[in-house]
This record gives sequence, C-alpha cells and structure tokens, in this order.
Amino acid sequence: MDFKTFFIKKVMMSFFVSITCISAAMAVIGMIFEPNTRFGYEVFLSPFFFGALASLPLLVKYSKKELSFKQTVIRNVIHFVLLEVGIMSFLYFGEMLTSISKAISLGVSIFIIDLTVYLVLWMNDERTAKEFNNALKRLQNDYGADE
Amino acid sequence: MKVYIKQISDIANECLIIECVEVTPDVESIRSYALTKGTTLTGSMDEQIYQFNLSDVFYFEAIDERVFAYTKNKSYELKIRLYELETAYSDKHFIRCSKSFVINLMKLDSISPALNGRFTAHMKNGEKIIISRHYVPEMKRAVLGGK
Repeated sequence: MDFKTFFIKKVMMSFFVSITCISAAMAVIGMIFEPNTRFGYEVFLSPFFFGALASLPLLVKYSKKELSFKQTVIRNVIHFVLLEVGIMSFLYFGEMLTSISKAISLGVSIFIIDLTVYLVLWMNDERTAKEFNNALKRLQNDYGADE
Repeated sequence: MKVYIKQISDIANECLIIECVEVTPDVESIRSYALTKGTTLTGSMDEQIYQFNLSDVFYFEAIDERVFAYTKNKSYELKIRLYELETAYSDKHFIRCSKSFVINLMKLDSISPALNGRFTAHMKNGEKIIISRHYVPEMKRAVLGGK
C-alpha cells in the first residue's frame, strides 16, 4: 500500500471515527466531573484537534512491506503508547489534567476509543469477508465445484 | 531457437514437438508449460514423474525458486514459475493471494479477517493460507465481479 492510500484509508478513517468517540467521551467525562461547566462554540473544535492527535500516531504503522503478525502487534502497542503519552502530555502541560482520577479515567477512555477503532476496522473486514464468502459460494455453485 | 507454428484442422492431432540437441532445464520448462495447457499437470514426487488433474490442485506454492502443487494428500514439484501458473490458469479460477501462493478458488472454503487488513484463506482441506492485503482487491474483483 502506498503512503497516499494508507493516509486516506487508515489515518483519515481513524480520524473521523476518533472525532465521534472523543465527542461522546467528552460529554460523559464532563457530565461526571464538571457537570456545571459551560463552554463557547470553540469547544466544538477540540474533537477535531484531539482526533488529529489521536490519528497521527497511526503513521507508525505504515510500512511498504507487509508486516508479520508479530511486527503488527508490536507496532499496535507502540501506537497505543504514543497515543496515551501524546494526549496525556498535551493535557498535563496545558494544565488540563488536575487530578489523578481524571488522568485515570482519560487513560481508560483513550484505551476504549482505541479499541473501538480496531473494532470498527475489524467489523468492516468481517463485512468484506461475508460478502466475499457469499459470492464465492455462488461462483462455486455456478461452476459445479466439488465440496 | 527457431519457432514454427503450423495450423492443422484436427484438434485431436494438436501437438508440440521440440527439436533440441540437449534437454536443458529451459526445454523441460517449455515441456511442462505445454503439458499444463490441458487439464492435467505434470510434476515430480520422490524423483518420479506424475500426471494429475489441475482441478485437484488446492494451491501452488513457491519456496526458494521451487514451485509445488498441493492436492488433497500429495504435493508435486513443478518445472514452471509461479507467475506462469498464475497467468496460465487465471481463467480456471486460480488466483494469486500472496507473493508465494496461487490458490484454487474452487477449493477455497471461506476467508476470515486477519490483522492489518489481511485475510486468512480457509481451504477445503483444512489448510490456512494468508491473503496478503496487496492481493485482497484483486481477489475481491475476481469473486465479487463474477470472474
């Protein structure tokens, strides 16, 4: 896969899924920890910003050659660490992480979001496999393939 | 080497004659290729030459410049390149699924998602072969396009 295809298919897809999940996480965490805080319109931009921050570490997964299972797992772990470190560092230095409980719940949220992205990608591949398998059976029936 | 093509009217008398001073590997390769143009293949196993049906082949595999054909219980070494098999039998539902494998779609049971955009091909004899993500679109076209 060339870099352009990788960027559009993987990074951009992750970006948009992340935006959706970050918006939901912001709402839930906000309602729990600071239910009375009110924001201006500019807050709508933050999911885009954090979406980019969450998607850019995906670049670590790019490889011209096909990765083995082990290499894929290692890069997934590196990606997750980069994700956690990147977002937590940004919030910490921006003095937005004010308590341990907030840091923990944010860390868990990032983990769940990351997992959700993998789940969505997996479900997409599952759908492709199902379509393929149905078409394969039709093709085999048409040509009288033996069982 | 000079090449002559003579048109005849009776299909039963079609044949290929190679006149050569020495039977070199190249000549063997041409012989094997010509033989595989029918519905049977010629391959070696335990230094014996065998003929077998193309339709019995589950997949072809290239290992260190050597090419093997796998039927349900046997494997034969062929004197032909993997890309030549791929080209010769693409119209007989043989398709490349990775750098080293050409599989028979008629012997494919199903596919399932693997990590990193790859899929696993579950053959009807229970063997599993990785479908490289590079070849996934081509396989989808071949099956979903009704080739």
